[in-house]
Amino acid sequence: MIFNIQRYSIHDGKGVRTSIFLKGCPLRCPWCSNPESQSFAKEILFDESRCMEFGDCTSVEDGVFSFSEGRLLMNRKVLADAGHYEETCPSMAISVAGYEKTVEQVLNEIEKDEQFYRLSEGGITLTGGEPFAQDNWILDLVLALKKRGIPVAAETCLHISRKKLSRFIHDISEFLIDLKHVDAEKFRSFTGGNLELVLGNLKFLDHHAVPYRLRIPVIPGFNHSFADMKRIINFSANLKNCRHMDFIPYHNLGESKYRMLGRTYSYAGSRPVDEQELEKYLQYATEKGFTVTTGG
Amino acid sequence: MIQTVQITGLSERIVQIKEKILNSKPSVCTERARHYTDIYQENAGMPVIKKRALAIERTLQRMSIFIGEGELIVGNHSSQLRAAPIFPEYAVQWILDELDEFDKRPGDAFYLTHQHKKELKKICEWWKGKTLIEYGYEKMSAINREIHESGIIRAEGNLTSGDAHIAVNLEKILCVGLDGYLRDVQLHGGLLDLNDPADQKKAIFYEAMIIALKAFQHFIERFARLAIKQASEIPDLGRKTELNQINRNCLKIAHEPPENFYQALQLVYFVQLILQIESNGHSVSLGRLDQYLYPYFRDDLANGKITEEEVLELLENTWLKLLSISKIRPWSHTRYSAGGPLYQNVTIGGQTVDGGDAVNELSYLILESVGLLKLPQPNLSVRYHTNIPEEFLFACTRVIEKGFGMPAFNNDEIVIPSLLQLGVASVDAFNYSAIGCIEIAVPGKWGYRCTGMSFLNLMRVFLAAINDGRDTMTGKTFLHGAGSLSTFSNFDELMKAWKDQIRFFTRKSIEIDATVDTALEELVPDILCSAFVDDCIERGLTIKEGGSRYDFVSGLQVGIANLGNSLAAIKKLVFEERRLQAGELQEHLEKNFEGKDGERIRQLLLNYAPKYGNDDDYVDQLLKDAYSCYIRELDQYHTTRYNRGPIGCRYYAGTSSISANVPSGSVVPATPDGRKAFTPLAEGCSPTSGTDILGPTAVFNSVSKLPTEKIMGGVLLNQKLTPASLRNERDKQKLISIIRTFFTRLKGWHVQYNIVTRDTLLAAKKDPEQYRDLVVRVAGYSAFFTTLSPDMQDDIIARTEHTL
Repeated sequence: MIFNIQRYSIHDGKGVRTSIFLKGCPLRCPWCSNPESQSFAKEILFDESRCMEFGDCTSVEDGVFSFSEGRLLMNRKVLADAGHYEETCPSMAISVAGYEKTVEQVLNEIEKDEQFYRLSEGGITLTGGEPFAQDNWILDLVLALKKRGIPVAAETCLHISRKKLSRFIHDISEFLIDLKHVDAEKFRSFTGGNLELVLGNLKFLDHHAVPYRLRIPVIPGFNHSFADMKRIINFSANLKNCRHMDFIPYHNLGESKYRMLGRTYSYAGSRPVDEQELEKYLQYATEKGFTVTTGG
Repeated sequence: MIQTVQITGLSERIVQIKEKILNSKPSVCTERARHYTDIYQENAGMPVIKKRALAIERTLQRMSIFIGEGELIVGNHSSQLRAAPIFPEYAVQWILDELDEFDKRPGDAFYLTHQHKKELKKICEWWKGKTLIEYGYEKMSAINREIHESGIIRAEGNLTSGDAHIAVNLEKILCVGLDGYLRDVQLHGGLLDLNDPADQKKAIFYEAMIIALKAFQHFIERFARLAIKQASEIPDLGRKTELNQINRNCLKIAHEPPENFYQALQLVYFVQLILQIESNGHSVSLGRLDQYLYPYFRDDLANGKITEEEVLELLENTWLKLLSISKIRPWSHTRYSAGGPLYQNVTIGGQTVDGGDAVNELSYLILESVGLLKLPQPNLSVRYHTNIPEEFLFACTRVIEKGFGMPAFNNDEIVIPSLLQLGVASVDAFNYSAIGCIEIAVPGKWGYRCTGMSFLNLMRVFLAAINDGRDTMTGKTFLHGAGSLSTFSNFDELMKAWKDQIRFFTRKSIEIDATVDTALEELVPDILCSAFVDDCIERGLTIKEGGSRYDFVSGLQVGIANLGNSLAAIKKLVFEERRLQAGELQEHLEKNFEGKDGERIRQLLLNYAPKYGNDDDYVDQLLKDAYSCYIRELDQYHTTRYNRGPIGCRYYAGTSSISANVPSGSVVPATPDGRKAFTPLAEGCSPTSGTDILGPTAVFNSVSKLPTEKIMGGVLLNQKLTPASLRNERDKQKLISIIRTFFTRLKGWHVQYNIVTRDTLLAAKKDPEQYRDLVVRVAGYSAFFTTLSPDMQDDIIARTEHTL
């Protein structure tokens, strides 16, 4: 299941790219800017600011939307299948995150920009969510793209089984690896994940000299300190084939989506990343021999 | 080609001249009107063309001239900076009607003294009943006048102003000098057989040309005398030397070919100026400046006669002179060309006649100088071709980044093959240039108006098609329809109804053009402009009589995206999904989507039907089909020059609709694409504001599906980018790569960029004083944002901003 196909992505790898966003992720990072990417199921995004109270949604008889004293109310608890709400709302106040597409359908979309990939040496970026969580579907897509000569990059948190990962190591032109931390306890308490799995996979890719770069999200209250970053950078410096490090400063552009999903955004009000502090990380990473970029 | 100079900024001199122009209040100059009126009064019985020769002669003899402080390039358009001359022979009623409102306009205001108003009133009273516009309307058939008044077809701009939309043969002027032209006229005049009535007419034209060319020479000599006078009075030795140089330049180029770059540029500017004193037309363009000036530049540089810094300053001075030329138009027409543009186009880059890359050091300097000044004039176009150097495109993106909408790109890869297809000789096709906004012609060999014939409001025609032929604004039926939305039993019937209506109105637009063209030919022939276009002298014919080598024109079709989106919405929601009832839709269109039910319908139309600009074949192909019907219909018609000499004399389509999308929308009721009544239509070939949600590559693909090789009047595409998307070298490279793909692979026709944040525009709207130098791309041209009317400003703000 995917939740977005974004054309002309120019900040996720080389050249002009189309990003395929896959729905569902094993981690639960509270700063996530695409909260609708986390669940593997379809979800309703309800944008109250676009609601004009036409009431078309009340015709779905599960009682999620109803009028009470002339006001439209929403009760998420009784939602059985978000899919019933596809294309119901005239003003698009309700949208459904997540839709099934065949590999063939996605290929059709991808091929529309083929001319643009060619000249700019761009291609496809698989992202999410965690794209490799849907390994069978993804593998079909990757092989189909390989046949057409369109390069595929993949952004991954590496929180997946070695078995799944190893299916891809020959056909992905570049892995964009989200390395969030190297402290197992911090990693577990913030994301709910097992760091050992991530680092093991990272070393596995490194060992097989698979092309990759690291993407380090810079998150206040989590790793936005020189001490934390130093640990991450030092760890990476011990990898054999790690050359490129991209720092992604935290931003709160995803905040409204939490509201639309009926979730609370625990990072509300967080201060943006301190530019000067960020500069120190960049400098340190450069000293350690990395090619460094920011913002993808 | 190596970019050798590192430019740090504008010289003190240029800054001062710029400030002076920006600080001058737009006003009106009555001198030209006075002289033309006098001559017309004194010589009532004289052939029109001779009257006009004497009138330009009198004007050039007597108009006030001045050389501004520090100016290196001289020549003024009227008695003051940014004072618009008046051209009473074209139209006066609007002046009488609007005279007291000029200073109260919401955009493009002009400030007049009491004295000027008094004189203008007197002049205009005399002209009543004698002007072009009145003559034109008189010649129009009753039905065509009704259609014109209804606003479905508009040609008023062509009757209140002259033709222009042309580049004259500057290359030849520099080569043979003005004396060369005089000799040529005399030579051909001597070959006439006065027993032949056609030759008798030519004899008068030759006589008129001699009067006008000599008047032009004397005008240049007046500046020579003024320069020497100022030199003798000024104590500053440096300035004295400059004025002496100006004197020598003018004495030389008044008669002979220029002998260096400086003189060549001065002569180019004088020609540019004189054409805009002779005629009220706009889009007088300079053609391929970097090509015909290059030999002078190269030689002077090699011989140490000039430095690149000096060239830059001269170019900048020239751009400021172009900016100081001013035009006042009726309010009705001003709304079609918001921001007071003159569309004086300069084209650089492209290919040489043998297909090699034509970019040279001068191309870089022109680009640089325009980028440094950030002014709405000249309108800078770059001719793209596949082998254009990456470095040059990079330099272009650095200017684009400054956010004033320049340069725009035209694409050789589609334009040249199309020109060849039309029968244009190879050497000429490879030498085309942009004219005005984005349209193209072969400089010096093409007639007027490669675009800019009448405006056709596609959505009014569409609404008639779904209302049994009834124009919903006026209630009139010009062509009986084939049914209405609620009676069509399938979509094909609707499409057929559209095709019937559009064919009818296409024919009507050509009829109206023919009326306007014959009126222009008879009443306001241009003498100097004709002299400078091949082969008018040889044939003894003005351009309008068929003197030019080539003659292809285009009208302007407004509402392209709205047409496609309306068709798609009806097809999908009414005929396929049946989510909407035809009758229900028709009712809510009439009621402008009022009320909650209406708004619900509108939201469905907006959100559940495919929109042009998202690379969706469903809508893109419908649009192509609907628009192609218009394009094919054009093939049947000719211009008034047919069989009189020029190659072509045909029409093609064009969408370089300047800012017409706003006023054109103001006379269109609600449309099935979810657009509310009287709001703007989409501009040019760009998607409707806010509906292209998949980014620039999808837009490129959509636009490329149109039959662009047949829309030679211009396929206007505006894209708006955020400053962040051009932040670093890598971003610029990505932009270049998609421009290359669009042009080389997809055969795109044109693209231009606005790079300003929405916040900046909002701030400028609120606080115009702080943003008086903010220039934005309006359509095929740029204008000062703060001179635009509020609704035009809103339209610019609304255009989709692609965050990359």
